[in-house]
Amino acid sequence: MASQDKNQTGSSEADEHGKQSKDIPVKSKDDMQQRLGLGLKNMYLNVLDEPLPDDILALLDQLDEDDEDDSNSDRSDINE
Amino acid sequence: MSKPQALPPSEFKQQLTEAIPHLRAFGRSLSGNRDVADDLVQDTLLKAWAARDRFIAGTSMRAWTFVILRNTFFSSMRRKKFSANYDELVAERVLSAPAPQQEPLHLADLQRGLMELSDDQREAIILVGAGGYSYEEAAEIANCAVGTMKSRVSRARKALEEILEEGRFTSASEGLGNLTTTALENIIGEVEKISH
Repeated sequence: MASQDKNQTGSSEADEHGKQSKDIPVKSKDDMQQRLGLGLKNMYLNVLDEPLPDDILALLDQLDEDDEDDSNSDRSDINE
Repeated sequence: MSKPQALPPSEFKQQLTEAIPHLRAFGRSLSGNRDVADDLVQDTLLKAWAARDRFIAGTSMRAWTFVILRNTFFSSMRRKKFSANYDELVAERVLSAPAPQQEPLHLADLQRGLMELSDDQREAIILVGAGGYSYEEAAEIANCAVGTMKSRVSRARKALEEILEEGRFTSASEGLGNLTTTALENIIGEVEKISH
């Protein structure tokens, strides 16, 4: 695993108080990149899977209704 | 040359509705906050609806509305209506299934890490790394050259890796109490000072 040792990054060295500065274990660069890529995609997909809030859908319906009202009143203006 | 065609209203509404989950995901990643993101989406829908005659049939509704959302976000940030911040409600969600010896990547850490990036780097890595857009599509949304987008993504990835590896978070990504002191606002403040 010599090649992996070369790639090791992370921060498990002891700090000035003799404690481990972070709980994150030493990892390879590739591993971090992979987890980051997966994490970003999952973060985005989690939101896609959520049900749409009612107020957002209601807003669209309201805009649509307002348009229909406007076009009906335009038509009645023309017919008057 | 024939005039570009607008979509019939019902089709426009249908396509706009289909774009909403993506707008919420983009807005959430950009702002780091669920409520801010949903406000952004509502603003975006209002603007898109008002400008629907300008949407050309056959082009991407998602990309078109992403441009509106990001412009709304960045111009509102300049007016401090919205602030980039991370949402503590999602703090415990685990994002990547780790191998047995690995630490899982928490959504809170990722969101805090994203908030540490500059706004252009954050936008770039969200579009390409999270949203799966090509560099060309992302460059079009962010209104920059493809080469610039590639470089932003690369720098963002490197910076984010370092932040997550070292746990190097600053006040820019802390709780809502720090809304007025985000790194981004400091940068915007500096830019405003220079432009006056």
